[in-house]
Formats: sequence, C-alpha cells, structure tokens
Amino acid sequence: MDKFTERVIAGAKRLGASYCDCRLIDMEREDVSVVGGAPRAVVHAHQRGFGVRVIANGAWGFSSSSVVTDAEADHIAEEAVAIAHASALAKKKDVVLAPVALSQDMIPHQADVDPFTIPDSDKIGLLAEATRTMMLPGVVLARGQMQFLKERKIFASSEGSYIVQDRVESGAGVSAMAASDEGDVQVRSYPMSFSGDNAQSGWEFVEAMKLLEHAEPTARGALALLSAKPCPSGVKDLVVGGQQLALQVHESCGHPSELDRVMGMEASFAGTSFLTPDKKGSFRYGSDIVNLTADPTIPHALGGLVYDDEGVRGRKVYLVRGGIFEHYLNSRASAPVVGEEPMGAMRADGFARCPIVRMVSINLEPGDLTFEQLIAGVEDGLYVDGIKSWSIDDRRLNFQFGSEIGWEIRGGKLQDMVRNPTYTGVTYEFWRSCDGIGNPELYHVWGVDNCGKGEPMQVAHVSHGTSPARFRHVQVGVLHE
Amino acid sequence: MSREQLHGLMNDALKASDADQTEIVTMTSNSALTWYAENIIHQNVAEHTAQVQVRAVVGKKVGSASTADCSPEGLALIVRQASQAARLMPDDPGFPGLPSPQPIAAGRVGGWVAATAASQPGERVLAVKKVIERAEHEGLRAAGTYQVQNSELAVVSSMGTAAYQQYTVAALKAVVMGDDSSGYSLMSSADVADIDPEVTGEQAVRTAVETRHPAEVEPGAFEVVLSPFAVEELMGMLAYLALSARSVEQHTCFLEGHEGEQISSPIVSLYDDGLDPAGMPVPFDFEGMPKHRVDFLTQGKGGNVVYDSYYAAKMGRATTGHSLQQPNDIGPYPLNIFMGAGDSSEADMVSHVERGIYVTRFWYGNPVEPRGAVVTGTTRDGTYLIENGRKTHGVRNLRFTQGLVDMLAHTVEISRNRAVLASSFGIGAMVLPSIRVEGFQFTGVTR
Repeated sequence: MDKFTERVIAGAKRLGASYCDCRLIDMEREDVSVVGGAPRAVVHAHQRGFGVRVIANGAWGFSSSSVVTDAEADHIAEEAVAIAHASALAKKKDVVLAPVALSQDMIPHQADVDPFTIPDSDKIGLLAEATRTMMLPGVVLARGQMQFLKERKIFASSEGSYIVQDRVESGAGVSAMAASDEGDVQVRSYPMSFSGDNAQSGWEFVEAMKLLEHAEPTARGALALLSAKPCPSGVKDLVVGGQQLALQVHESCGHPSELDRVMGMEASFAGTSFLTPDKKGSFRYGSDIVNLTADPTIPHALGGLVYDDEGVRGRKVYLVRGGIFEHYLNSRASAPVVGEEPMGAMRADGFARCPIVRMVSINLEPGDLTFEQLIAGVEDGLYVDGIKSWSIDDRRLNFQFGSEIGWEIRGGKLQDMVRNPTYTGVTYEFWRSCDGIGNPELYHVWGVDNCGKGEPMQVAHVSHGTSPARFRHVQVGVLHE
Repeated sequence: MSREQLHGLMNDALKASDADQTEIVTMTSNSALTWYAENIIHQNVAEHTAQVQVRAVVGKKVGSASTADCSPEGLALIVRQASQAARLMPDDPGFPGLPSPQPIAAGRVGGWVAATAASQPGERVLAVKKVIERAEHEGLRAAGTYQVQNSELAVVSSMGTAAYQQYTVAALKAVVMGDDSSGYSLMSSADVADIDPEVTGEQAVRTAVETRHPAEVEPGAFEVVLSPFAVEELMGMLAYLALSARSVEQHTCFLEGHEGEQISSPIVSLYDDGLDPAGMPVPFDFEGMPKHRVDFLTQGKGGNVVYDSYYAAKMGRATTGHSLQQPNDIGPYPLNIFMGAGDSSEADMVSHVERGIYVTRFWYGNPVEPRGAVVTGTTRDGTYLIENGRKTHGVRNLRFTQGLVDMLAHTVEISRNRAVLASSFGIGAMVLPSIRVEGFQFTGVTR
C-alpha cells in the first residue's frame, strides 16, 4: 500500500470506521471537435483526486477532494466518518458487505499506441479532412469528434486489497446534417451517432475506423434521407441493426438489471425496474434465443474492467439465458439481498463520486443468421439502424426509439429508404417476439461513453455487443399529429 | 477562497502566460448530498472540487487545458500547457479572439447565502427523516435527495475581464411510492432556510395517495394541466433544441426568420434572465460577459436566441452572456429560463377542464424531430384524470409525442405562482408556472 492511501485508511479506522476504501485517481482526457473543416474545441483535461468511502456506526459516508495532501487526507477521512455518523441517525439496519477475495494486483492498459502521443494537429487534420469531404451541396453541418482518456486508479481497502489499474480509451466519429428547402433536417453518422464508437484501445482503434473512406457515403446518406418517404405507420415485423440494438439492450436490459434500481435506490432520479426479485429465475424476458450477458472480461470493450471500484474482480454472468431472467448487476451491499455474489459492477465517475451499480459490457449473444436471412424472413416490415432518439419509462417497460435511417422490407427484400423511422413497444413483449439474431460475423461491441445515472449525476463508459436481430409485430411509425 | 485570493492566484498565472491572449475560468465547489430511498439513507456524500480551464490564443490558434489543481504551481503549469497546445493547433479562421470586458451588474443579484454554505450533514439527515416519517405514516416509501452546494465562479482574461460570483444551492427532492402510485416534489433555493421538508413530504405523499389504483386511459389528444415540474422537463428540451445560436446553425430553431411574428399563444412569454433575483442569478457567463435578458417569445411573438462570443461573431450579433465553459460543442445555452406568470391558479385550471389529464412530471424526454421541437417521453410520479373540473383519480403513465412549438401555440392558461427549479447543471434555475394546454398528444400507455 502507498503512504497516502494508507494514511487515509488508518485515519478513518482511528475515527471509528469499521470499513474504509480509498480510490486515488490520476486522469487525463482529450476531446477534439471539428466542424466543417475547422477546429471547434480541443480540450486537454487533467484531474487528480481521491474519494474515501467508509462504514461507521453501520452507515455509509463518503467524501472526496481534488487536493492530494496529507492534511487533506486527514480532513476527508474525518469528514467521511462524520457523514457516516450523520447517516446513522436515520438507519434502519447496519450495512453488510458480501465477502470478497482480497487482491494485490497491477493491471496494464490495453492500448497499442498511446493516443496522447499523437499530435493534436494529426487528430484535427484527420477530422478536418473528413468533415470537409462531407460538405457536399445540401449538407449544412459536418461534425467530427475524438475523445481519449488515460487513467491510473489505485484502490485500497481496509480489508487489505491494493489494486492499481491503468486504462486507456479512444473514440471517434463523424456526422453530416443535411437540410432541405422545406425545412426538413436529416443526420447520418459514422460509425455511430453522438460520440461515435469507443473502446479500451489506443490510436489504432481510430485508424481502423477509416473515417476518411466513410465520410462521403455518410454525407450522401443524410442527403438521400431528405427525399426518402416518411416512415409508414402500423404493426410490422422489424429488423433492428446492431447499432440501434445496442441502444435497445442498454435501455431495456442493462438499466432494469441494475440491482440498486430494483431496490429503489434510483427511484428519485432514473426510476425503478420491472425486473423485481420475484421474477428472478422464472420470468420470461425474451424468446428462447435471447441470451443477454454482463461481461466485463471482453478484451478492449469500453465497459470492460478487471476490478470494479469495490475491488471485486469482474466476471461474466447471464442476465437473461434462454429468454429467462437470471441475474442482476450488483454490488457488495446489494448482492446478498437477492442471494447473489458480487460480479464487479460498482463504478464511480472519477474520484469525486461514490461508486454505484453500473453496466459493464451488456451483450446480446449472436445467433446463426446472415443479414440476408434476417431480411428474407420478413414479408412486410422495416429495417432500421442508427441511434437518433430514445425514451423509456421509469420502470424500463414502455419504450419509443427513433433511428437515423430505415428501409421498407417487402417480400423478403430491402426496398425504399424511409426517413424518421420510429418504433415503440413494451420491453418483454418486444424481446419475446425476437425470432432471429445475426451470426458472429455481424457481431460488434459498441462503446458508449454517455450513460448517465445517479445523484449527483455520474457518467459511465459502457459497451454493448450486438448483431442485427428480427422482431415480430412491432408498432412502427409513431404518429403524433 | 475569497474573491481577492482567487483572482490574485489567477492573475499571477495570467501574467506568466506567453500567449497573445489568455483566459482562466475557475470553478470551485463544496457540495454535499444525502441520498435516500426505501425510507433509509443509502448514500451520504461530500465533494470538494476545483476546475480550472484555460484558453490560450496565439494568432488564430486556440489551445485549451484544464486541471483540478488550484495551487499557484498548478495554475502556472496549466497556463503553459494551454499556450503550448495553442502553438500546435492549426488556425481557426472563425475564432474572433477573446471578448473585451464589459461592465457586470455586480451587487444587483444575490445568490449566495451563508447559512447554506455552512449547513451540516446532520441537518440534512434530520430534514430527510421528516420526509421519510411522513411517508411511513401513510405506509409509503420515500426516496430522494437533499443537496447543498457552495460554489464560486471566477473569470479573468488578459483582455481585462475580471468576474467573480459565489452562489449557493439547496434542493430537497422527494419521490414517494406506494404499490401502484407515486408522488413527487422538489423545493430549491439559494437559502437553505427556504427548504421545508414537511411541505415537500406532504406534497409528494398527497399525490401518491390520490393516484392509487390508477386506471388506464386510451392514448390520444387530451387537454392537460402541466405542473411546473412537467413544464421544466419540456422547457429543458426546448432550450437544447431551439433557443440558442447553435440551434440556428443546426436549422432546428423555430424562431429563425420569424422575429416579431405571432408564433405561440399570446399569453406565453418566455425569456432568459440571469439577473432576476426571483431565480438563481449569476450575472455573467463563463467568458465573464454580463448576462443580458433575452426574450424568446413576448406575448407569443418571436424574439431572439442566446449567443456567446463565438456565435455572436459568426452571426454578426453581440454576445448575450450565455457562454458555457469554452471551448465546448454545445454552444451558448440559457441557464435562467423564465415563463411569464399568468393570472390563474392551478386549481382554476383544473376546474376549467371537462375531461383531461393532470401531469405532475415528465420523464426521459428526447427529440423525435428537431424541427418543431417534436419530443417524446412519459408521464411520471402523479398522473391524474381530470373529469368535470376535478382531479378524480390516478391513471397509468402515458407516453407523449408532442411538438413543443405547437404546445406553446395551444397554451390557454398560465398560473400566477411560479416554482424556482434549480438547474441540474449546478448553476442557474428555471422559474416556471403551471400551464393548461389543449390537444396535447399522448401516443402510448405504460404497463
């Protein structure tokens, strides 16, 4: 153990903490944004600080600081213990943590080329060329962005764990917005909307995207949408592309599987969950072919980790197996309540925030169909992809999602392009209607760096492995006028 | 830190910069939050953080860097890094240079209360206990947060800008749940003394009790009465989609080209005012520019959008003092939205509805079609059926898909009373009334 975390833990214990952990984090970020060939924002950020979590008098306390000195170590440990004592004024029972194997470990990052060694001018140059290429007549806005993260996190606990983990993340994406004289606006993105695709990799991940090659087709896609027909409305069969399905998995499987939500801890912000403990082991969440995993061990996945922020070694569990709901994302305090063992899903957004249950990599296991076979099985339907809009109720049941692009399917073949495709449904009805999943060749693990949860808000980096999949009798084309 | 200490540190760092222009923005925050659910406190946290953001300009090159290290050495290092970053950047031909200083209405606004800054965790716990006990008395389960924040925002630049403001926020939120219903309440103020846990608890409990055993209604067009909490969710989306110069750039602004035209109902006035003490004022933005009131809609007629210095230069306008931290990809943003008060009460509005829906709160709103600000989301934490002028019983939560511009055109009644709703950004607040709207589109129902 290093002297700083040792001092924090000793201080907390001296003041009466029965448990203490300290995370000392040194983190660099770089965000690059280019619009229409010109740099819009390049931000280098450095954060260093520590967070101290304690149990005293049977209740939790947490405090954190960006000042890393011995005096501040003493002050924050003292404050965390004082807060725990205040919490105990309203406790009903003592916090109990599931036992965990103690670890002394050092985990290296997974990047080949440190993205922070690549000059800003190269990053801006690549995005500038890509966004200039996208500025075809009719395109009103071409954006490109990259984001990189490098972190060293030390976790030390009063139980004796001491874990040093290094992490490097890289991500990038481009998008084109086209506008018509009639006022319609359409967007296409590559490789994924919002911040693009992200992974625990280095600069090689960005190079492999081949942003320049995809810039013009992306822009042409946005332009083509302006003259596409509106999305039809009705109950149809639906093939959901892998990118859109990542969102579906995130919202309708990942979040409702978070055990803290299930136990009501998120009720005042993100809501609760329909996956109540009485459903565990028996509830038909999806059809027989639906297998959903929480797997932090996938190499390079953005949601991957070796140890979580409680020092628990991450392991793969089936949230849904053979269509039956089986397991939760959990923590040391919540897992025993439902008879589970911790599986490594407690994470905090930086040093300043207290860990909460978060998704790791939540994945729909691939099936055995080619894309052509998925489409061929639809007489009258729709194929959609590209995340555009998402909304789901506070129990994660009623969802309505919009995609960037769609195509009608008739007679087992893709037909006309449609704009503003939307679909809506109820989570378990939707997943029970799944009768085809794309094969491993169509499988991709998408990195999502904007998952919000908790109070104060914490943003987690998660991932979702998906292939395209087919769903029957889905309401598409939500009319609103 | 005091204004003098913080500005002194920042000015020393500014002097050490070798860039043509340099700007330093420092935010410090001491915040604490008590988080409760299922009638227990499950997290109780504090954080002491600082963030220093530096923009260095060399010719037309702009470099930025940020750090959490507020020490003289940390500031000197970050200024050097920003300057070095600028020299490695390509020219940004559209960058107008850092803005020149303008007088700031210091002293006109409050925003910082010593009692809030000094509040202790035990006080938060006792307040939360009152909410919990009120819920337990009805056999209900309470969840929520009690947050207290004491922050500083300081801006200095080599152009001569020197701005400083301290502000506090106290906010108590309650979601009270029964087996098949829930209720919501939020109280926020700069002054912790304004937070009344008994009122907060009572409002959330009453809603949860009244909406027990919800019925299912078929989706469709309904006349609605929206509480200030529901209006806040929608105005937040409108701000994101359509009230800034960036939305003009993205062709999603409904005001573009319609200045002075009747766009919404003549009873609707919508504006941003960072100086109005009725909200949570901060008199300058993250470039140290004074906040100006911006009228989006005045008695339904189209007005202006908000600008920062970048978009002001790009579009030939003056900054309105609505910059977020620079550089950013969000553009200028209204953090102090007000809707003008009407002359009604919420009870009056309900009494004017023959058959409709009362919405306590919306949830998970997201754009469907940015043009017209068409958004979707669901109701939450207290949705009532209104029949013959009375809230008769709870209904299952509904999904809406509604154009917000259209909604403002069909707003027929606005309350006198407005709620102050602290921003989730940690700075600013919306001040919003209840509104009655005709023909609000519900497109689905939850289970």
